[in-house]
Amino acid sequence: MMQQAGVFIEETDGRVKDSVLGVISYLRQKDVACCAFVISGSPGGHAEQLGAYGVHRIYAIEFQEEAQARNPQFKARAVAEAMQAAGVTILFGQTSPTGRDLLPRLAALFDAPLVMDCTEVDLEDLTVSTSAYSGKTEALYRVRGEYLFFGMRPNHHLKKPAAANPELIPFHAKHRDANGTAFIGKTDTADQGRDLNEAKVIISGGRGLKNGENFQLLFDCARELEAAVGASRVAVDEGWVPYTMQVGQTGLKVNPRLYIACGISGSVQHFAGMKTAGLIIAVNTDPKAPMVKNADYYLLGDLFEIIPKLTQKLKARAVGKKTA
Amino acid sequence: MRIYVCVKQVPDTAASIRVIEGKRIDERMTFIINPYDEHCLTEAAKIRDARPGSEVIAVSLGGPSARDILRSALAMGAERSLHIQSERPHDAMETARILKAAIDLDGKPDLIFTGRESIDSCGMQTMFRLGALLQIPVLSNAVDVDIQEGEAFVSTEAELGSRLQYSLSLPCIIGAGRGLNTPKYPTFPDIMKARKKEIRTLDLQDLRFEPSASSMELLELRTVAEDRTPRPIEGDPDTAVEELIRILEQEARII
Repeated sequence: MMQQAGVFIEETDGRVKDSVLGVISYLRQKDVACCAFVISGSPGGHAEQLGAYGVHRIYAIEFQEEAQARNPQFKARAVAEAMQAAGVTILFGQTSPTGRDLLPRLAALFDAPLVMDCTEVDLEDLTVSTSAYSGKTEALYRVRGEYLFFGMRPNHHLKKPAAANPELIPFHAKHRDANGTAFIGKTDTADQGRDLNEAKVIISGGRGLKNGENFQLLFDCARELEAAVGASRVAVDEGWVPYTMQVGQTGLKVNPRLYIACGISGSVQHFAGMKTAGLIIAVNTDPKAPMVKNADYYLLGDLFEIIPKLTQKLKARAVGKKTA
Repeated sequence: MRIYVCVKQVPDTAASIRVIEGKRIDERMTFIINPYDEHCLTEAAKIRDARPGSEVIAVSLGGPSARDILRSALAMGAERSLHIQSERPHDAMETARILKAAIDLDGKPDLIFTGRESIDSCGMQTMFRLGALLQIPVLSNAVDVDIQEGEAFVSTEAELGSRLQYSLSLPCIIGAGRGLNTPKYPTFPDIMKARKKEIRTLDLQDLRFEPSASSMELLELRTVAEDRTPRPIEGDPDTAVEELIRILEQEARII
């Protein structure tokens, strides 16, 4: 019998995240039948998009009251109920802000193993690879349990389409106990940049940026590259940019295809957050900086000259392409 | 108010990690208190100071290095501490059971803090398991905490830096995120005072708990090779930027 696993669907701007489609594609290549669990206001449970990536079944979870969908306790209970209704005992999610809350709640409910930041999962011998010690080592675990949970590293597996015709199953959550947790409200930050977790390209700045205003140079360049802007701990501690932009040990762990580090010396702690990037390019004046020594490419130069030039040439290129 | 703070010893982030027998690390190195736990201690001390008669109790599981970091926790404001002695590794299911048993043995918590994750194994789950065992609410990645009568108002950081606000009934567990506060590091007198504070030693055998039917076993640990060979992008700024664009297009394939 074909093995079956659930995938918790995260969305952005009303679409399924690319990184989630990557997890679905990964499972499909392993001949695992995917059952998607969707908590969404959008009707149709993303059937079209999920179908295009080979999902077999979609459980579209609905709540008795709208507010329950915003309560993490209700959400976890609802997914647990839906998993039981679907006969799914293995659930994949992501190591994202959403996954960091939902997956451990579920694992705790079922008293089941959970491994976060997974790169590879073998459902035959139940082994899983993850990172440990700030990415300096890779750990292989064996998990045992009636239920199993995995938080995948975002963007580690890329999406590959494969059409299927999924069955859409509306599911009504029954759980009524909030367990002492009440949702009050949500505040969006003023800077709505791109999601660093999802970004394929990240351009980051550190001490070399000298102040917060100069980060505008990176934002300008990021617009041309469709990149997200990150920062080192120094830039955050100096108050130049908000903590939400921090890449590193105590910030975000990102996994883009390209990481451009501008004026970042490259501490061990910073590498802990970006060392898995596909290609690393350092722009720095100091040839001895660890970032320069551990990059794929380095450009020894003044970022205040290089980055605006890059932005300008990318802009000219884009215009050239349009008129061509 | 009785506030428990779970703290963990982790290898100094700057230290290089040496793997022994493919399964564990060479522990002859400096251990530090998990950075997120410093936010916990700072927040716990602040809450305690606003409520006369409150106390902060640090709890740690592990060998001699756990005892060392409990000393740091005491210097950062905890009144006393519990050291659960163990030399062997424990998975997340077991760790949560051990912490619960130790806290049960010591007293009734009003509030429990943990870091949102430990920077060594990054399991990100102990607080949720502890909450399920104690049947109390949990939130992690907290960036703001306000304790009121019988209730904690907690803001957490979510997608794209947005913030979510919740209320939790007390007792509850809060996982500290980095935005919660600026850690208050101990002064010399704090360190001296900490020497006289209590570290209560608990043996695993003294703690009662039902084992989990689930397990996570570490099979192998291997050092990740640093395999990047840096190549220069040379020439005057114009030439260098042209070359950079070529790399973005032909190698990174992002434009």
